[in-house]
Amino acid sequence: MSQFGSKNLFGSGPHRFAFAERGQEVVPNYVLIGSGIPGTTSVGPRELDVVVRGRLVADTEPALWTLRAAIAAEAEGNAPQTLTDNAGHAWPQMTLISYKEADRVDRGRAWSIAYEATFRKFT
Amino acid sequence: MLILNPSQVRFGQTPWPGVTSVAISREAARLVEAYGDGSPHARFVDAPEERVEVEVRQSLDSASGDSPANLAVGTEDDLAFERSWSGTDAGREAITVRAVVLADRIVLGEGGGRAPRAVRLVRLRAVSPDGADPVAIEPLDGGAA
Repeated sequence: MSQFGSKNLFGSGPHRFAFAERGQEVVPNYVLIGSGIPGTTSVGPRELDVVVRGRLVADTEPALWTLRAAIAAEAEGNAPQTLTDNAGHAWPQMTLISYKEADRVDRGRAWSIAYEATFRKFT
Repeated sequence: MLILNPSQVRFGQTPWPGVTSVAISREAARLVEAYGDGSPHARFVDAPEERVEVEVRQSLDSASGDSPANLAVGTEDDLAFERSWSGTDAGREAITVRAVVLADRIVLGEGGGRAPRAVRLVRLRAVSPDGADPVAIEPLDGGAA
């Protein structure tokens, strides 16, 4: 079971963990040095971003709103916590910096919505 | 759902005599299928958008001459009919489907002679302006719910 701190934010439905882009943070020289200077310069490793993509699932519309609100509150709270994936791998001091939903709530047998949540370890 | 030999078939105000069957089919117009980590199998499948299609098969009486004029494709109205399980009033039900005409075809069969057998196939797609199930089934007097 995945967790953010002690909260099971994503457990209502299937979800997957993945790294965002890793590597060096590269900045154009015209930004660092001045106009007319070609090329780029590495300023160090990129911050670690972990992206969770999944679907929140509930039996009722109010129950789905509760799930959505819980994640939105974490995203607005800006409190670093340990993020743990479905296999138990943990990343300490992660901040939920973005929570983005799909363009619609799906209502069939259940109420559900797809989402993407991005966590960052600020340097 | 297949209804054989329905009675009192009409589309809007127009009676459709000689209907031998009404077939109602449902399928997902859009599918939600979600997977999780650690398994190749779908963890969640749902059909949030559903398509209901109706096919009416009407035997045309060649002795009475030409068939009715074709329906305009896109026409929307109520397809209504009755069914009974035993040919009696017991368990009789009225079924109404709000639907749009997709196709109105005449199929000529083998009949020989001057009056070949003909079947009219009308294909419709159900609509639900209020979001309720477009197939409404009501028990009639003497029928069970």
